[in-house]
Amino acid sequence: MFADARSVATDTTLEADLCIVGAGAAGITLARAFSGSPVRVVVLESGDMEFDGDTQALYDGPSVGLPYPSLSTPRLRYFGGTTNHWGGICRPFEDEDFEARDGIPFTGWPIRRTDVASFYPEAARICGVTSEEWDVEDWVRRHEFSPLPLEGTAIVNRVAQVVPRDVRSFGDVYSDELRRSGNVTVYLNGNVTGIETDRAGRRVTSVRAATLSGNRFSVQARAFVVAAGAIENARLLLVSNERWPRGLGNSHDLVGRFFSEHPRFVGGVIVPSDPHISVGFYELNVVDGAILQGYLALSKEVQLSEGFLDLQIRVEPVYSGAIADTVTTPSVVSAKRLARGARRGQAIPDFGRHVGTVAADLITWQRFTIPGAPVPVPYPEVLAKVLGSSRREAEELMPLLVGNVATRGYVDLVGGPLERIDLATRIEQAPNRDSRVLLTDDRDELQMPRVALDWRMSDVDRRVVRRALGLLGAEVGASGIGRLQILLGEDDRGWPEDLKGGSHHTGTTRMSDDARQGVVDRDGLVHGMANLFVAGSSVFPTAGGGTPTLLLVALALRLADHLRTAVL
Amino acid sequence: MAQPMVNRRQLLLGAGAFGAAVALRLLPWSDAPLSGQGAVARRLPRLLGHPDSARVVGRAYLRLVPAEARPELLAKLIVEQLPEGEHTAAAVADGELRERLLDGVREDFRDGKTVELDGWLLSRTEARLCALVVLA
Repeated sequence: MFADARSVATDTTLEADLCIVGAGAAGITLARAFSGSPVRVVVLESGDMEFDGDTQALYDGPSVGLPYPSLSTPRLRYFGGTTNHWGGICRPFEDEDFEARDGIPFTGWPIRRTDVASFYPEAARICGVTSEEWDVEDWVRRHEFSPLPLEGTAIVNRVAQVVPRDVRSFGDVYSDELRRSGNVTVYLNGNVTGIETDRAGRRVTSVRAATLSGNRFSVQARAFVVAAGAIENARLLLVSNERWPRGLGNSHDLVGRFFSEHPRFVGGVIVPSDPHISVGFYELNVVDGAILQGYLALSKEVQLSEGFLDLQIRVEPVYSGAIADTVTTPSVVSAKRLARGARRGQAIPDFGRHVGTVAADLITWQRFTIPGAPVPVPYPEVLAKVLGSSRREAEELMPLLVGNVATRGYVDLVGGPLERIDLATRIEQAPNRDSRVLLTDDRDELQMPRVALDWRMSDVDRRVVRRALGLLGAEVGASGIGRLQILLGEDDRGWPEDLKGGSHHTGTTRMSDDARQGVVDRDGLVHGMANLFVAGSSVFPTAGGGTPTLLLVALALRLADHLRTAVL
Repeated sequence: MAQPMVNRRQLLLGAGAFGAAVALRLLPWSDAPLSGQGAVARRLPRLLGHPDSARVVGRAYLRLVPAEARPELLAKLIVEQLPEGEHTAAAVADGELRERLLDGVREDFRDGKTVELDGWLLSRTEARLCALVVLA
């Protein structure tokens, strides 16, 4: 059922078996897992059923590190949480995403993929994922388009699924179910402002709640789960400092540290030898009812042997004439950077264009004809040049010239000429202790200290981008696909102007069996505490190569299982 | 019904011209094999159809590796990467030599024999070919 926290009288103490702080993907998943059981559950959600500016402003906070939007922008503070603007891209973490890397401290999860694998099918259903098939070979067989014909094993193809837009918001999808629940009560407009413990500081006794209307109350429970997002989870633990001056679970100064994102920027460009090479596999496609998008990644073997974390490379085609239409996209940023050498006064204008010409020079027959056609079929541009006609006239001649190929929708099959392929690299950041969420002296409307974000990256991140693109460049060259430019210079100290995060906040209450390396243990229990758990991507020690939502939901199901069997 | 914009005669002419263009491209430009590094150094640059682009890339390569700024040395370095080396360069027709150079370029990428010019990853062989065009 739903209740309005603004109607709870001041100084009231609500009682429950389980108190969940936050109704986003993790909180709603936990609440649903107990719905219909004898366990009395109270969910405290800061917002209402719809966006409200005053509530959202409680998230405000500055960014003092790498460029990042205001802290209220990537998150949403109402029922459903950040799933209300979720992009819907899903893929489970790879096996290797759980493994430690030689030479990179603080990597490695205390659990393996097998520990969470049994929860993935249910997590996929909860998230609205259409198919449980993730094997790229299986999808390739069913796909209309083929991956790039890369020669080599260092770079692999993967497939992500995109959840249909109408089922992405957990708030929209699961509100009716929770409204009907007899044992779960969701208090809307109820903001947790602190966590109270017993005198020893080992057991949480209650959480303090407040509303923007002014009433204040508390919730007592046997177990508490903080599931308010990676920034807010850290904030709640840090401000709860009555027994522990550094905050709960923070004996080793780890809460809020190791903040991680999926940094994304256009790290490279390919000029294709064949301007009609198909990159359809990497664009959004519906295959057997599932919305798919292919992408490239570093193979497990390279990651483990060279001590790199995961990296995703999105293939973003730029067709001729498209630049003028995309003035604000990363494509233009990368186009500008193509000329970076010229700005430095060293390099040659249009160097990339000349590289492309040289790369295609030794290829003769292929330059004039469409690869794979049963007979040599010229490109429309080539025929148009020979005939002295327009491209349109040439296309109209195609059916006469190429017979059956034309009847299959020749022009549609071939597509427009590619000018270049942008390579958007998305990194699994190396854990960085100095990348952190920290309390400020500023306070919000409820008198809670606001937080600042000091997002940082490290040289390991730079090295993995250059190495991955170098390996891809070699495979692109060996395969005759074209030539690749690495936009991130070896000696560059800063990061590209188009650097941004994916609103994937992780790491601030990282998971480890060792209390000196993690805030929570493998079950999500805060080290040193008896009944305080954390759910959500803040427990990820590393952010993985995939997307966080599916795993955080699977981990929430795993936590529910643990609470059910071992705690409640 | 829309009238065809190009009549049958134009189509045949066009198709013929296209075939001729492709055939010309495939035919060896010079079938007179030469011997000696100097001769090879003169022959190799002619295999590239876009010397202007090659010069741009070649100049960048020579700035990076000025020690290779001698035609005979570049020719030697290119040829010794090819199967049967100098014999290939001297004995085969242009079309086949072009194919072998292309194989050599791809082999460079497989073997990590690459060079980075303004961030662009190029094969040593193609970069040296371009440098030869500069020095030709």
